[in-house]
Amino acid sequence: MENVYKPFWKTWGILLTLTMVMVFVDVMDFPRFVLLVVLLGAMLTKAFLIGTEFMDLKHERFIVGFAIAGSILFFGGILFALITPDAFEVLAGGR
Amino acid sequence: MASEAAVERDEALSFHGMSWKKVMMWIFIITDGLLFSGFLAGYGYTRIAAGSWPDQQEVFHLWFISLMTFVLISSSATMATAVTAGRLGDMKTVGKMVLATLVGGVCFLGMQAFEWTTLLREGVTLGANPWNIPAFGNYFFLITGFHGTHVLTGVIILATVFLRSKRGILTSEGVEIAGLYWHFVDLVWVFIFTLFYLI
Repeated sequence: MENVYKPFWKTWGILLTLTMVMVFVDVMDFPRFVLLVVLLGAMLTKAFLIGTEFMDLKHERFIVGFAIAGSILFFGGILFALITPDAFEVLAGGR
Repeated sequence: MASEAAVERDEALSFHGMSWKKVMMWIFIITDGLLFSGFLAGYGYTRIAAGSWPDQQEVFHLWFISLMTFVLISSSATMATAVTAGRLGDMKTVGKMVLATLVGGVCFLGMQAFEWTTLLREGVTLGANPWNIPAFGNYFFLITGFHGTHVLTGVIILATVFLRSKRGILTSEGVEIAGLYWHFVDLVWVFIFTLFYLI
């Protein structure tokens, strides 16, 4: 494999390692809080790596990355802002 | 004057240096990503509201789902290689890597079909399941089915890209746009794998 392709296979290795760590943590019955932190952290790291390395966002102009990431975060934020209060109410036994 | 006309022409053909074809793919990815976000947010809410939820380690074979993840991540790496090869004008490598990605996609679909069949045999359907939590089957088939449909679409796109490379009419931009779609499919799986199979 030529040098120019190496970063992709390095990213591939990191993604696989993170996946194995996630499965290991899940199987090993860690406390719920630790499990959530590790799994969500690994998930977001994997998403970031795919976005920047594979989808090549790190080489796009800032305005393009901002438009893409900004719109997803903005609308995703609205979605969760609408759902989270209800979810907490359910968790507290409100309904 | 001539350079001003050239700048105007370039602006009409691109958005901040990005071709409109690629911009359209990004807009599709954003809207489709929000659709999946809606599904996953709905799933999270329903799961909390349901009170209890089947233990995933009892329902799924984690090693098998991990293998599916391995296949999809590997196919994303081959696709990224194909995109770079396309930029370098190495269409022979593009053909090989797109074919490898295509094989990965087909393998993933086969594994998903096996997983679905196994669960259906165990009595998990849209309306009922052995744990008496109907929402589990609903969300499982909805989310993985919707993602699987995306993979199937990706496989069709990759087959088209491969055939075009064989006929010598493939452009590097064509590979890049197909690559964006395929990486998006991989990206969505990262969230499904974590939120549905592990947490």
